[in-house]
Amino acid sequence: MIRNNLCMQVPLCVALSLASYVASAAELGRPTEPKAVQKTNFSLGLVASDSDTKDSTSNGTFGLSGIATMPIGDIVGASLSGTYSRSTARTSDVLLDVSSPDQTRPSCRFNNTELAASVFARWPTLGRVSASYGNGSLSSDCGDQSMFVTTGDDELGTDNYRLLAEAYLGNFTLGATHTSTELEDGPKLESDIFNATWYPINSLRVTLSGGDLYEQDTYGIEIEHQPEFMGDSLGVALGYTVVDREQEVGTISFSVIYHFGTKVELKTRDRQYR
Amino acid sequence: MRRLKGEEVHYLPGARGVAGLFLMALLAGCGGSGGDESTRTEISTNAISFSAPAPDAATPATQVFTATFGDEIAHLAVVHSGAAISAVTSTMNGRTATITVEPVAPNTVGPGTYIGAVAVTGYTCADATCGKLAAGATSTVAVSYQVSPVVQFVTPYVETAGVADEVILRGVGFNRFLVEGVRFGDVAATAITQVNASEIRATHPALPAGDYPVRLVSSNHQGVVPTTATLRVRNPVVYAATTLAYPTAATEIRGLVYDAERTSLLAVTDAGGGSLIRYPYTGGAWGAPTEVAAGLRDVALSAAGTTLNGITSTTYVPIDPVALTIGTAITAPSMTTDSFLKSITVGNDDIGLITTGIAGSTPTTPYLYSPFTSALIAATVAINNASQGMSANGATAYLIQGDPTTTTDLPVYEYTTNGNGIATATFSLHQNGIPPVLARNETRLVMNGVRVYDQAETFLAVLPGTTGSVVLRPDGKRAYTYDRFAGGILTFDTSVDPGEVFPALGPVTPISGDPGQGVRMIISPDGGTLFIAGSNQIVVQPTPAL
Repeated sequence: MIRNNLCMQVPLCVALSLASYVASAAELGRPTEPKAVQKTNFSLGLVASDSDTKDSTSNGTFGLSGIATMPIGDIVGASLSGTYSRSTARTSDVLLDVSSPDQTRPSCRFNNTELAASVFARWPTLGRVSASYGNGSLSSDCGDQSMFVTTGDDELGTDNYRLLAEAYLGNFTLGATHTSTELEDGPKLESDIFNATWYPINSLRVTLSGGDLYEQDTYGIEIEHQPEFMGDSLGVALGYTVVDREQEVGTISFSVIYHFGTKVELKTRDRQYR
Repeated sequence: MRRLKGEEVHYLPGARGVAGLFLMALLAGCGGSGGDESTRTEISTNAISFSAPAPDAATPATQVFTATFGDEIAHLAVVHSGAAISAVTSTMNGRTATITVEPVAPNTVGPGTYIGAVAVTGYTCADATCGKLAAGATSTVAVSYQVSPVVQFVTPYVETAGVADEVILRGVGFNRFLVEGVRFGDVAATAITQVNASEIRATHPALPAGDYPVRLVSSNHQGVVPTTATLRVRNPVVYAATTLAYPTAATEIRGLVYDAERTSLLAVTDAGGGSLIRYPYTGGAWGAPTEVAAGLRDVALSAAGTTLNGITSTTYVPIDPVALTIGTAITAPSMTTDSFLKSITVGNDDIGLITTGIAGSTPTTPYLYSPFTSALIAATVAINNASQGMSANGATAYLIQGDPTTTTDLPVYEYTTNGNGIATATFSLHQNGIPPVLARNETRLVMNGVRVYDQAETFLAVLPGTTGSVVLRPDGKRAYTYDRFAGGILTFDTSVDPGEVFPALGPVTPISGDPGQGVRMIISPDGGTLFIAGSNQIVVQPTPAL
């Protein structure tokens, strides 16, 4: 209980700390960038991931994502994002069929679409606070009857609300995100994720994360690189996350993101454009 | 404030260290390994078995199991594999899904053992916004399905007590299980030969009189292999020489069948347009015959002796072999104008082979009658007024063709029951009115009453040209001819190849009456009695002991 209370309060703590930190910095006359988003920008990405659950099925996912980020005044920005992904569960490991080895096994496919809008305030040298709303839809096709538990059919709508706070500390960024997701006709999922990001060089980012989805420890690492020879427009990210539970779930992900019109270093992009 | 080039930003002292400690503290604070139970899926059983006693049996009832899943499961996926499962459906009630497994119809997959699986996987949200799903535990139910092979028929279905012999088992799925033996009741066969998926030849030892269910012995079949075949072993019946009169005067004998199971004789004459007469033999004496006029042209017992298959000029009719009640007639489709159904035999698969005739030298199409579909199906060949003879084991029939005007030899056809194919034999003849005769196990064949062939259709020698009718002893080693000109029955040793002509063994055996014209002769399965029928009457004659 103590842990839960702590986790629930952390985003608020981070936000308050950040606000206090911003105020202190202002008082001390620290240099800050005037605009939350330097200019409107667009990014388009391809995402692939493979998730494997111990002694169960594995999933392969391929998707597209796009985001548009725009300034609203000096310290306020907004973004609109959209994602489509399709996952295919591999069932061969859990189905026995020695009598007809060539028979096609049914597999599960999940389609996900999500649209999200965010409003944030950012002080490019200090940090950012953000609030988001997203609406998503999941659908499944498993051959046999399969269903989402709460809806009783093969579609599930989701609404999510997200609060984010980030603090920029030199080559580090600390962040915390609280997400509240309402499943259609179902329960509300509350989760917190904490990030620590390090920029060894301005075009390379290493992010460690930890979360508590379903009260289960979730750890992750992601490395994103924006090679200079690609004109600072293309980012490549490789990540791995693990859910530490009885049947451990490991997910490796790879993404390629192209940024239209903004040829800036990764660190700058993260703190002044995204 | 714009930062000047080269100007460094100064952060609060120890900021990096603070950041690292801050993150570590938060991660540590949120540590927890609970929730495993909430992502589990529990099923009520790990295995389901279906069983069908035969390929044509009803589809086994569906079976149900439940899956109970944890609070965090957002999606339940049920997938299956295996040819034996037709469908899997599920209904949700709270955190429990009732999953129904429906097997396919046995005749869809056929005999065999099939395995499959139903996998139930609970999926949880994989990220904070539930944009992806991650699999939780998968629970798998193994599904097994056995569709049993079936022994449908054994032929001949009546055997003689105290005599070992080979019989033919017909059925389905013999190749889908390991057949290690055949049992007649509790008695094991002394030899078996698996011909293919539907035929096994098995030799039974000498058995006492009784009825013996015929079963396969298979170690990889769960339970006893079903059977509908019963071998009926009967003591030899010693018939005294006698004559049996027709209740109604006739001018032609059309068909003659000995019912060894029920010791009765069945004859079809032309009286009344085609009368069926049954002569029962009980208590050591022939009883009063019963007669029914049904326009019949021929009859043949079914492979299990349960039905007397009759034909009229245009229809197939099932007949009760004891009460002689006539069943529903089935009209032969697409018959050639003025043609008629001529003769019928029944193979060891219980399918009837029906030849057709017509006035004139014209080929017409034979038919196959299937009791399984109750339909007459035209064969793909046309044969000229074919006469036929089937071996007692129901495996092979020969068809000889031609009408009285035919002077040139025409192809002889061989019908093979296993596959129901009609193909030309290796020799040609034109018929003289005496149908082909085969030994019980096809070891000898007599065409036109005189020409003797071995099983490979190699011509051996001829019998006297004055032969009016001929039968072969069940073992094929003797031929008995009714020879009006010789004055009775002549016996020949057909186990040897004598060269050109078979010499008679011993003197002619006189018979107890004059059967009349157009004689047909049959022999009892024990080989002890000849039944000689003609236009006048039926003569019952003990087989010459030669």
